[in-house]
Amino acid sequence: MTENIIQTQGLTFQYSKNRKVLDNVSLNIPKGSIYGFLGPNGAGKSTTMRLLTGILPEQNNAISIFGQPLQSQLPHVFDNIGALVESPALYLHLSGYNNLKYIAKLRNIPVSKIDEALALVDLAADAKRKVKGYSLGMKQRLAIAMALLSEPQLLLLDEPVNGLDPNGMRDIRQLLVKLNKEKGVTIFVSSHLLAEIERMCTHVGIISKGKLQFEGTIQELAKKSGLCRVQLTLKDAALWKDRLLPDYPDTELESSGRLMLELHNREAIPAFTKNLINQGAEVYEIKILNGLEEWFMELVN
Amino acid sequence: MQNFTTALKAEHIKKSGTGIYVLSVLMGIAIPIIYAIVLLVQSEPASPADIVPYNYFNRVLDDVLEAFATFFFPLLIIITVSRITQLDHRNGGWQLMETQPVTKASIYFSKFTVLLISNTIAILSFILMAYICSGLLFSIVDLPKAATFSFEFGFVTQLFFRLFLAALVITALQYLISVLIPSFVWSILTGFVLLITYLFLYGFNVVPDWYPIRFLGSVAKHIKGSDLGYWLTYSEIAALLITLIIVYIGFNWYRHKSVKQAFFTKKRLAALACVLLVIALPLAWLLMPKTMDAYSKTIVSGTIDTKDNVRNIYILGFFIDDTIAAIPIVNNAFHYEIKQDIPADIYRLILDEANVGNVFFGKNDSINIAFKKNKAALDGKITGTRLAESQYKDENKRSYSSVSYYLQENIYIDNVDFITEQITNEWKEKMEESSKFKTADNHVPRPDFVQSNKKAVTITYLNYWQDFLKKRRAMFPGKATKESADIAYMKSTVPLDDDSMLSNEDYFKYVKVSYIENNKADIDESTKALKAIAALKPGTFKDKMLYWQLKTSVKDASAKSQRDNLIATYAPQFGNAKYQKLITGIGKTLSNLDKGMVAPAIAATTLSREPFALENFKGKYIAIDVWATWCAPCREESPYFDKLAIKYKNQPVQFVALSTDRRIDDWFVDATQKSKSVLQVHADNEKVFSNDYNVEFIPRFILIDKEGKIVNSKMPRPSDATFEQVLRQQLNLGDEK
Repeated sequence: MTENIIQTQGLTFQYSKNRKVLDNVSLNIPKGSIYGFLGPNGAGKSTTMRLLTGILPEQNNAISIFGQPLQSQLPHVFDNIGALVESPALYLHLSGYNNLKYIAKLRNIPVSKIDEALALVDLAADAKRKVKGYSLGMKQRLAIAMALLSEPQLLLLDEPVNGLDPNGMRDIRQLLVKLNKEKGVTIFVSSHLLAEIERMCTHVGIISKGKLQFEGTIQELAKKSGLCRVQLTLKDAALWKDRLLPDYPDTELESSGRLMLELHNREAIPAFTKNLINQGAEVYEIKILNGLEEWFMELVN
Repeated sequence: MQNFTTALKAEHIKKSGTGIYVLSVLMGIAIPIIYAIVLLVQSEPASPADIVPYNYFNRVLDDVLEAFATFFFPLLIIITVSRITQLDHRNGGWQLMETQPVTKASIYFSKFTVLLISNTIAILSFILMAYICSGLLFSIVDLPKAATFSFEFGFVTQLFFRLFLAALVITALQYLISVLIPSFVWSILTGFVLLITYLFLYGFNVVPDWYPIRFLGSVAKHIKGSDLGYWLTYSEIAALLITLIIVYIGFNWYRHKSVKQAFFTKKRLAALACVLLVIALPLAWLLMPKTMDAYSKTIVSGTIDTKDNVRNIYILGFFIDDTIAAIPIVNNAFHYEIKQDIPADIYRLILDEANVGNVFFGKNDSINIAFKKNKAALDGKITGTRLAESQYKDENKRSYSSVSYYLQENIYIDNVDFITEQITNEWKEKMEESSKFKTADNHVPRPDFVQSNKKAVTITYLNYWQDFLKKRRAMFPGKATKESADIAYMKSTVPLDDDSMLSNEDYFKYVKVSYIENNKADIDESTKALKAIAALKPGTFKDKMLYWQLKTSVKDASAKSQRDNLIATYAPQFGNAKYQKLITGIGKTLSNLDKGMVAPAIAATTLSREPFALENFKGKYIAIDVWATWCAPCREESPYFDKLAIKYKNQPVQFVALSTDRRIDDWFVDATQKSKSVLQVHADNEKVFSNDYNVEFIPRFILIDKEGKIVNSKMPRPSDATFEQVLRQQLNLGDEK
C-alpha cells in the first residue's frame, strides 16, 4: 500500500449552520503523486486548500499530513511544505529577489538558494526589478519560486495557472512535472480546468458542491468515463454509415465526409480501424472525441 | 524566541524601501525645528527681572512636548500602523506568512515590534532635536543670566520611557483594528476620530482617564512626572495594563480569526476572564482617585535652594496676620511642629520680609515646601499631605470670567435672563472643575478643601449676582429683577453665619451686602454695615465681621475726628480684646500720619552708602516717592516726579525717591541711572517703613513740611496736576499763569 502524504477523513466545514461548504470529503494523496483537485468554481476547492494549509482553522481534526494530525504540526510543518494560496501573494514594492530573500529569511534558507530558484522559474534576468512591473505570468512564476525555495516534499498549489496564456500554462506544467520526476516532490494542485489536470496529473479528485465525486488515478478516470466516441473522416461517408449501422447503432452522419460513432473503449480503436480498412474504406482521419469532458460535466452538475 | 527574531528580521526586509523609520525621524524632529524657527524669527530680548535658575533644554522640551505627544506622535502612530499592516493586506501577505514555518505569535508580535521601534525612533529623534535646537537657541537668543544648559540624563531617560509607555495604548489599539480590518480606511478613520475627539474633549476638560491619547497628554502635562518621587506615574502604569488587555484581545482575535472562535469557547472564555480579572483589578485601583491621609502631627518643613542669605520663615493666619509659627532656617532647611490646634484654612508664608505665597493646610497635615530663590525671584513647590490642594490652587489662580467682564463694563445689565444664565453656567462649570482636578499621581484634594473651595466659588458668583442687582437698581430703578431657582439654590448652600469662612474677604462682602440690601436709609454703605453688624449677637462671627468692616471704615475715614469717633463707638463691641487692640493700633498708625503730626522716622541709605534721615532736611520741604524696581506704575510716575524736581530745584524742597526693593543690589543699578535732582535712597527695613506709613500699595507720595511734620501722607500722583498745586501752595508760590 502506498504511503499517503495528505489524508483527510470525512473533512467537513461550514461557515453557518445550514450550509456545509465541505461535506465528508476524504482525500488520499499518495507520496510522489501529482494530485489534481478538480472542480468548478465554488465547489469547495479553495476552502479545502485553506483548511489544508491551516489558514482556516479546521472544525473536526480530519486532516493529517505526513501521517500526523495537521493541527499538532502548525506551523513547523511548513518547513516541508511549499504553498501557494490565493495567488499570487507577493510584495509588490519589493524586487523579485527581495521577495525571495524575505522567504529565505523566514525559513532560514541560505541566500545562495535564491539564484537557483530564480533560474528554475526563468526570472534571473528580472530579479532586481520591482514586482509591481511584472506580468501576471512572471508573478505566478515568482510565487511558485517562493513556494519551491525551501525544496519542500509537498507543494500545495491553488489554481497556479489561473489567468495565464497557453504558453505560460505549458511552462508551469512542465516545471511541475520536472520537479515531480527529478526531485520526487508530491504536488497537490487545484484547478477548474479538466484538460490541465489530465495533461499532468497522476491522480485526480473531483469535487462538486462540497462533496467528493471521484478519486483515483488518471487511468481509473479514463476507464470510469466509459465509452469512447470517435470521429471518422472518410470517403463516401453516407454509404459507410449504412454499413456500420447494424454493429454500431448510434452512428451518425455529421457532414458529407464525416461520421461519429461510439466504441466500447479506447482499446477497441485499433481493431475497429483494421476492420474498416480491410473492408475497403478510404480513411483520412480517426479522432477521439473526449468523452471525459462530457462525463465530467455530468458529474459536477 | 528564535522564531520571533527570524520573523522580526524578515519584517525588516519586507519594510525596506517604505521609509517607515524615516517618517518616524521626520515626525520626531518636526516640532523642535518649527519651534526654533519661530523663536529665531520673533526673538525678544530677555526680561531684566530676576528669575529662578533653570535648565533651558528642559524648558524647551516642556514647550514642545505637548504638540509632539498629543498630535504629531499619535499621528505618526496612526499612519505607521496602517502602513505596516497594509503591506500585508494589499499583497496577500497574511496568508503567505501563515504558510511559512513561523508561529502566529511571531507574526503578530514581530510587526508590533516594528511599530515599537518606530515609536522609539520618533521619541529619540524628538528629544535629540529638542536638544540640538535648544543648544542652538541658547547660544543665539538673548536669555536671562540664570538660564543654564545641560543634558539631565536621568530626567531625559525617564521622559523617554514615560512617552514610550504612554504611546503603547494607541499603538496597540490601532494595530488591533488595522490587522482585523483589511481596508485602510477604517483604521485611519478611527485614528483621526480618536485624535480629533481628544482635542475636542481636552478643550472642554472632560478627557476620561482611559482615553488612548490622554496617556500621552498626561506626560506632556506633568513633564516632571510623579510628585511623590515615583519613576512612573499611575497613568503610565495604567497605559501598560490597558495595553496588555488590548494586545491579548488583538492577538487572540487574529489567531483564531473570529470573535466567537477566539473568546467564546469554554476554555478561551475562561482565559479571557482570567486576564481581564488579573489586569482589571489593579487597573481599577490605579484609576481610582486617591486622597492623602492625615498625619499624626502638624508639621511644616522644607528647603530653600538659594545663594542668598535667608533667616526665617513665618506662617501667618490670613485674617489678621497673626503669626502661627516663626521658623528659623538652618543650612537652607527648616522643620517645625505646630502644636496648637489650627483650622484647615489658607495661611500666608513670609520668607524674611517677603510674602512668598499661600498654603492651605490645617491640623495633622505635614507640609513640605521646596523653594528656589534667586534674589527677588522665588519659586515654591509644596508637597506633603496637601499636595493636591496646593496644585489645584496654583492651576486655578487665573481664571477668566465673562460675567465679571460684563459687570465691569456694564454690558447686558438690561438682560436679566442672560446674566442669570451666564452666572449659573459659569458657576456650574467652576464647581465641576474643582472636582475634576487630579495630580500627576492621581491624587485629588481632600473633602474639607473641596467643600470650602466650592463654597468660595459659590460666594464669588453670588457676589456677581449681588453686583448685578446693585447695577440694576442704579440703572433701571423701576424694574424688578427676578431671582432664578438656581440662584436661590446657590444662596441656600452658603450660610450667612459661618465664621470659619470669614478669612475669605468675598464671604465678608457677601454677608455684608445681605445685611444692607434692604436698608433704604440715606446713609453710606459702611455705616449701614456697621450698624447691622453691631446688632449681631456677640461671638467670634460678630468679632470677625466687625473687624473686616471697621478696619475698612477706619482706613477710609477722611478726618481724625471721624476715625476716632468710629473707634470709640465700635471698638467696645468686640468680644475678643485682640481685635480691639488691632483696631486701636491701626487708628494710632493712621493718626500719626495726619496732617501736622511729626513724620515717623525713616531709616534709609543713599547711593553713596550714607545713612539718610528726615532730620537732615529740617528747613526744607521733603517730597517722597515710594517705589520699587519691579513696580511698573511706579516707573510710569517717576518721570513726572523727576520733572518737578528739576523745576523746583531752587525752592526749599528736597525730592526723595525711596525704594522698598527687598535687595539693595536691584535698586542700586536702577537708581544710579536716575535724575540727580532726586535724592535716591533705599529703605533699610521695608516692613517697618510700610507699617509706620501704612503703605499698602506703591507708588505712594508723601509731603513733609519744613519742621518735619506731615503735610499729606497720601499725596495725589505727580502725573495729576493736584500734586503740583499742593506743592506750590505750601511753597507760597501762588497759581502759575
